[in-house]
Amino acid sequence: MNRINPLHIGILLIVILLFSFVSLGNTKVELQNAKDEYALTEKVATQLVALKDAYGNKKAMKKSLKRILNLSSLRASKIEQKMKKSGVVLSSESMDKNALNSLMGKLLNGTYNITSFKIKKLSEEKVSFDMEIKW
Amino acid sequence: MNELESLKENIFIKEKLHSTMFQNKAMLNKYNKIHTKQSQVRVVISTILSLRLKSGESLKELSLKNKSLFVSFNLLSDMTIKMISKKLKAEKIKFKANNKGDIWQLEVLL
Repeated sequence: MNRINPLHIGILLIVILLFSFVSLGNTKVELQNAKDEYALTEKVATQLVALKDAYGNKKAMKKSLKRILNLSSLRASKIEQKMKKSGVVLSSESMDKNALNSLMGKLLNGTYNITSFKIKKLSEEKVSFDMEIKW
Repeated sequence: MNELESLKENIFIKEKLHSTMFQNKAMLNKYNKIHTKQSQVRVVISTILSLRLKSGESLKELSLKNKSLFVSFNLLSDMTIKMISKKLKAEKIKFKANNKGDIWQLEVLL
């Protein structure tokens, strides 16, 4: 009569136990990886949405620029706007320095992607102004 | 894990992200560079405009081109030049300066 050796059963149980431990360890690692990946996705998404909204929202930027340039303090400066596909070029051959202060204050306090500009003093009260904003 | 995967997919849909994280990270990198440069531009301009010049001294031109901000001053005294250099160094703003007659030109590297 064949009898199962208890030693074999013991060894089998130890192997099953070891396998379970390894398997549990792997699952824990996978779960941690999935959690890390989720946290990274959430972080990237939050930052990307905020920055895209600040610097890549063409519609909102056009609207706020229009509002700024329509201010009574700036209307007299006759600031020209040249719309391009990638952005806008603002320029004034001669504007009052107070109007420039007001304009620069508004533009620098906003999240406009100012890629280039040139402000040149023409006299004690007048300056010329050129600026390119991209979206 | 399936739940996490589903939550992740929801973020992609809700925030209208690109289909791969590689693309999203590249976009984030692009916007981060813009944000860093724009913040630097604002800090430098604010520092320049907060300078107190003496009577007769003036800011002649201020411009931004590529990765540099150029500032030209007119008729600055040695003391004012020292004061400006000290202030820029204190703000950890890297710059190059040169004299062209009465004009002191400053190039700030962004």
